[in-house]
Amino acid sequence: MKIPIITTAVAAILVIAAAWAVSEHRRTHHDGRSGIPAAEADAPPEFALTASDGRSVTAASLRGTVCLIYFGFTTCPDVCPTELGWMMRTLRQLGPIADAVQPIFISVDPERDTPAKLSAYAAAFHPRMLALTGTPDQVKAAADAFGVVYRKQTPVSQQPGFYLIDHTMTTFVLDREGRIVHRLASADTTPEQAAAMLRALAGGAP
Amino acid sequence: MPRPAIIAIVLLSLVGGAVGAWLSLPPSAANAGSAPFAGSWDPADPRLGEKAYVMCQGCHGADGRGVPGYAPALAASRWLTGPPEAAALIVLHGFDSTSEPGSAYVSSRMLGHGRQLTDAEIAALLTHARASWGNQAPAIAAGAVSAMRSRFSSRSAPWSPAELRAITR
Repeated sequence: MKIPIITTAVAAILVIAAAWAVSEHRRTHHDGRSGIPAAEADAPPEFALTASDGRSVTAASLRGTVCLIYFGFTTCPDVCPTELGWMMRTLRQLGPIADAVQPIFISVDPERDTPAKLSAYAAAFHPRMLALTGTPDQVKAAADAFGVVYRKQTPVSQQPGFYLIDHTMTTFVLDREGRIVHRLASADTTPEQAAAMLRALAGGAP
Repeated sequence: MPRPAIIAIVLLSLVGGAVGAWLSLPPSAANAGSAPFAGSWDPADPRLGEKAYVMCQGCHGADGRGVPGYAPALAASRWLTGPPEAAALIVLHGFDSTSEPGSAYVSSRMLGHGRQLTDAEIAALLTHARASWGNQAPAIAAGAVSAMRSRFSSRSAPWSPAELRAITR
């Protein structure tokens, strides 16, 4: 059988197009939680929050530093410690370059996560981890800026004031311009892979 | 267009799609299994146990008092302060007392943390908890946790109290 050259060419183009389409879809949609393809999120997310030591921290005050940002709450049973542990393993992979990366935990539970609780929680994970909170409105605005969603669950205990919170479990990587350049999760990315991404961003002179 | 050409295009597109999918597969397989990895904390940190307990405090509380009906208190906990094998297995694979007669935990079970914590971290946090909130049980060595991890390497489901009693009898 003889296949005309034009047909072969068309077939080759289709092969490449299909491979690209699938890979592109995976790249931009692997994080079903955020739904925003990384390439489209060029505008840096803006926020104004308060660190557990009382300092005011805004997106602008973090410009010039590569940041790892994770939203959660200190009484989270499994997801937060898992993802923050993954963040710490990533930083340990980086060696001395880790000093150029700012780990940040933003509480989605301003009602219960007092500055004292946040300080102790952050210190248990990393001596330089910044724990941020704010008024419920400030926290909501920050979460919206990142496309993070959170919602109180129905109570799982009779104990007053006890509740869990469903929340986005993405770790955001911000470059020195404050743009979101990666959306990561421990289930998809190894600490080694995440460290390679951070090395590319933070490895050079600031 | 001749039929063989169409077949060729369809086949090649399928191959291309498969290659594309393979190229961008998430590396979750690399995380599978229970093999220990480089830990989240410096293993030489003198406060390792206290720090690694951050993994537990969400449910069991920074004060070890737990949450009624949801997570048991660790202060005066017989499972925590009893045989080191049981304590290690509970952290490695979890604990499920929902079918235990008279259990206060009818809908709440603990998931294992063997994939998030190294043996040294588990030993340190158990040692910390076994000596906190009035508990006075002896330290647990990392080797004791490693022994349990390798002895039950194919285990993933949380342990029932009856299973743990059989293992530690």
